[in-house]
Amino acid sequence: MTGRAENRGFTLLEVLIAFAILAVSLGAIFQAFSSGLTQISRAERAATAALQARSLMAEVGTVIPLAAGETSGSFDDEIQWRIDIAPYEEGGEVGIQDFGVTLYEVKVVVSDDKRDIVSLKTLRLGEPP
Amino acid sequence: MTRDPEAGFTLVELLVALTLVGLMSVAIFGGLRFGTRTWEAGTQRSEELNEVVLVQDLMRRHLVQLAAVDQVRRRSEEHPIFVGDGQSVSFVAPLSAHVGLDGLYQFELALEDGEDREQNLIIRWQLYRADRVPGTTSELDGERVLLEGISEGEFSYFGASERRDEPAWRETWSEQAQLPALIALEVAFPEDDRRKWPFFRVAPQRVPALVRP
Repeated sequence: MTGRAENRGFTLLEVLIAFAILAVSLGAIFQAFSSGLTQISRAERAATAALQARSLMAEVGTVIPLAAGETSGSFDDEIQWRIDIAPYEEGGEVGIQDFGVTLYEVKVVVSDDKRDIVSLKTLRLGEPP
Repeated sequence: MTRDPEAGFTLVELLVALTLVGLMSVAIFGGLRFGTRTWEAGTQRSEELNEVVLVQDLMRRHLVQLAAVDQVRRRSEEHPIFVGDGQSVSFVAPLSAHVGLDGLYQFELALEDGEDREQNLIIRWQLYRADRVPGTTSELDGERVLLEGISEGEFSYFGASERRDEPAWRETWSEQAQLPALIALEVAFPEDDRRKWPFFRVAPQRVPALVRP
């Protein structure tokens, strides 16, 4: 072990360890790329859901009557939507109902099997129930 | 074991070293190729999505502003403010504020035949003037292709006609006293196309039915 130490080369164990380190770091890099792809498809779904929610919001008051209640449906097997309309509870002594109209809170939710992707909320004036 | 300091590598050592280098470069180049492929796929997918998002935004922005036009109608009865059928819709609206040009424009959104039995979605605009002679052009007119390679598309309109009180979906909208309550555009892409057209509905803003004189 002494004398020629500088010419000794690597032992098999050292080479194996070096390989293991290489493999682990390559794996980490692949992981980063593929998680990038997953993130892109999540972003894609979120952007699509936002557009769908805006279109659903447009349907409230036209195809879907502006009255308290819940409406739901689905775009395809994976994406569902739900619209909740409820009278809006106001504070204060003078309410909007004194003017012969009712304020509704409209909530549009687009979700997949697991969780809500997009949720939009707005207030709309409508005829009293 | 003492070795002659001048001795080279044995054939076996050389082969082992070559194999190791070979394995390593296969792994690294494979990784690089995988990386560039996913990178490209990612960019392409976000571009495809961006295209559809931008087109829907632009259409929504213009179709929502039809409200401003309600007053125009009264001044010039002979110019239809809103005409639509399955393949095109024509309306008057202001240009988006960020374009920085005043005035109302006559817009047309149309699905027109392109190459290979596919259709393109096109937007055309020209300065709206009640006294404009049909067929004339000006330097403020323009045309742009919004979406290419559509296999099928259709506009439809929801609203009540003057005669029928019950609002319903209709394939065409012309010579009505009111604007439609809702405008829809369905678009289908060819099967090998990964683009998707999200559910699209626009409610043109109008004076709410509650506010009557």
